[in-house]
Amino acid sequence: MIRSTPRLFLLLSAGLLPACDDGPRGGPIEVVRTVAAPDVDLDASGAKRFGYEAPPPLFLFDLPENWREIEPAPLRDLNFTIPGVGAAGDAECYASLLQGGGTLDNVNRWRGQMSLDPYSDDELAALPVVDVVGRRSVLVDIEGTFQSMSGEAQDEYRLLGVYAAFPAFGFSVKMIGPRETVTAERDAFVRFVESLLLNPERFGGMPGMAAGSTDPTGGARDQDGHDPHDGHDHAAHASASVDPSELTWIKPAHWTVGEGSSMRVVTFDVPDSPGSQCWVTVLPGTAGGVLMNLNRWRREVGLDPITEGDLDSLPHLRVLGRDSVLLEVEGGYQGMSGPRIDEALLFGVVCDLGDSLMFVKMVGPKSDLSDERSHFIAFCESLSS
Amino acid sequence: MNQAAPTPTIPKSLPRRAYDTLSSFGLTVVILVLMLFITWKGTLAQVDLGLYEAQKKYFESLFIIERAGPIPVFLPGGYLLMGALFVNLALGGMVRLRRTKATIGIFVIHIGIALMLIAGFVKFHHSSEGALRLYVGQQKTEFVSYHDWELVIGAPVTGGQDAQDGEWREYVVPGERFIALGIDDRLSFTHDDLPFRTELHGFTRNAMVRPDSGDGRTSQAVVDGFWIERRPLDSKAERNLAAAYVDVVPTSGSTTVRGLVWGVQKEPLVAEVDGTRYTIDLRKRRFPLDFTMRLDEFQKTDYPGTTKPVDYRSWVTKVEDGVEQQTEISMNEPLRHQGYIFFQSAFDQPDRASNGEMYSIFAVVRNPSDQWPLYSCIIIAAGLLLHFGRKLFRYARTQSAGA
Repeated sequence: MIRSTPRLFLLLSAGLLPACDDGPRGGPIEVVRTVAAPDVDLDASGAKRFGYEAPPPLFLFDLPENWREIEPAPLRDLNFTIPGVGAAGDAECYASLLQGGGTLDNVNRWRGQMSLDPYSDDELAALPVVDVVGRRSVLVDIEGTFQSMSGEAQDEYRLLGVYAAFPAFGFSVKMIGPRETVTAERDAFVRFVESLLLNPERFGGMPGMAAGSTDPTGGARDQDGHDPHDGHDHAAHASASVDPSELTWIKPAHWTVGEGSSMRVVTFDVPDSPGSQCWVTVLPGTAGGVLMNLNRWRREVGLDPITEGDLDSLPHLRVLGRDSVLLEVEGGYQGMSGPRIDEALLFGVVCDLGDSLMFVKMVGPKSDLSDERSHFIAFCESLSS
Repeated sequence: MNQAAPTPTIPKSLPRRAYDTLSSFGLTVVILVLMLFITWKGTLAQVDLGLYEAQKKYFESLFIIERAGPIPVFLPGGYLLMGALFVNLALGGMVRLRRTKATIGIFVIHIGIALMLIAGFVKFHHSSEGALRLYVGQQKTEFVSYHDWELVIGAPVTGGQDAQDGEWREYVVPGERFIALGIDDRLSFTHDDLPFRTELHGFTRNAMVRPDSGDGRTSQAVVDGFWIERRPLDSKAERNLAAAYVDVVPTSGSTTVRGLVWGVQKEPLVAEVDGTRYTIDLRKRRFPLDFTMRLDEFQKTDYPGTTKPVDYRSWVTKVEDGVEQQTEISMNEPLRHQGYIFFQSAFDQPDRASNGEMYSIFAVVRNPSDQWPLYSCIIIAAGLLLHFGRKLFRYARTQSAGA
């Protein structure tokens, strides 16, 4: 019985094989259905079919003749270089969508960069105004010694800037460079900023805007507390896909709300760990993209950048319904401001919201922060809008 | 004294030997041991292969080829083993079993087990499953497979008494006809209504479509500036995105239209043949429903102070032959109708297209043998009661007679 079983198994198997052939099969199509005509684009390009169609530009503008547009960078949603005049060096001009701050704060930040004393409210009110993205905006025109982010001092520099305040964010355009070059381009700069529009195809309605309202801001006051300027038919509307003012969260019980900055939605201190902070920032626009910002944080702790292909190997969280990368790095930390932290631990999440980026960052001494990982993750996952 | 000549042994015929073997208890033991082994192997394989591929390889196959180092080892697959078990059970457990009062319970148990195996067979060959996604207020008459693909050629309906503006005909090639197509092989599909044949080649079960950088470095064919980048299969089968090259070859001899199709393409490939535009789409298989499902309301309840759901449920209206019936579907209370089962599976976050609405996701299963495992268990329980109840009764009677 047992000796014959294997042979019978083979016989049985051979008998079953022809009946179960599921190999590839061409020939006549057997299934036909009648359906309603589909809603498809019969003229779609390959780029549109496969999702490589470039999105509409964020901004609409008239580009001055000798300006050259270059790739956006972190905090530079529009980026240009302007060739130098004579022996003078090139100038740069860039536009940024910023979260928070107000006109006076940002203008005085520029004055600080030019080694000048800050303006008072009265001095700010005395500045000339131009129309920028449908807003009356002050025109800043200052000369001095420019202190770059790297600490290098550049003498005889000139800065032109405008700042437009919206309810949920600010928009600035700034030109900085050698005095001769910027002087030659002053009129072109003014024409450029007056031609700027935020592309309605990329931005939804303004936060708080009532349906049918002719007021582009829906009656909301801007960050300076002023009534909005109206009378522009082409008033540009803009919003982040998440309104920072509507973000909610569940903070860990032992965290306390700290003193933040105009750029942050919220800042938390960890009382048991002086020097540790967690904060949330939302920047409208591309803000350089997820990878660039993760690499910026890596550079802050002295690490080499990673590539797009490395992102899959990093932990992922679900934040505001989006798949977001969790960065955990350590090293000597030096941020954009504040003291250096030797042996720091940095947690960071960059959440791509479509038309803005949300950053959640926590940094502090490694000895204290190693216990905060689960709290940081829970906080990120609790964010809601 | 003469001794009687030994009675000559008549050799058993082949059918008799086959019958003896197929109905033997020894075969039962061999089959069960092998099933235990492939269950263990298949469970471990899920880690790397994922649930879907492991199930296909170990439990839905006739044969499995494993490797002991460089040596291939051939094993029977789950389908073959369960088929053999059914035959063994039928012949040994029912036909050959002496049916007496003592064995009636065992006979009933065997019927129950056989019914369980038949239920599995029916589900394997005649069931379909997928997902139905509905926004509040939206209605649909089909659900979409998780894993299976179909190639669909769309054509406008022209002429004939039943021609209507806005109607299309879909010529559907189920994925089982091309899912195993080799990368270098080609298949051709035709229909009398269509003035061309559709040739499918370079089929890949998981791929990305990339724009050609123009540096000539890609080894794949570039069509209209795009090429297919083959990727390893994802362990989560529903994440695999199939792609293929398509040639639309007119029977009139006019120019062949070449293109790519991809499982997540936003728009179909369009081929103009003899003045008419046809669409070619590679998409997840759609199963038509015999009725319409409309989502009236969706409710999510969160744990206090969090955004994590503790419960979510949907209120739907089923429209069939003009009659509307409202019902509630929640996580442990599916809707069963006409062999379809709608489970409240998940929900998802709003996106821009829905203007902030959430949508409800139902897991849909159509299984003619949906309730048969339940009947099988009832029959097995009845058989156990009969068999052991009889033994208990006889024991009790023996004890009381001896007392």
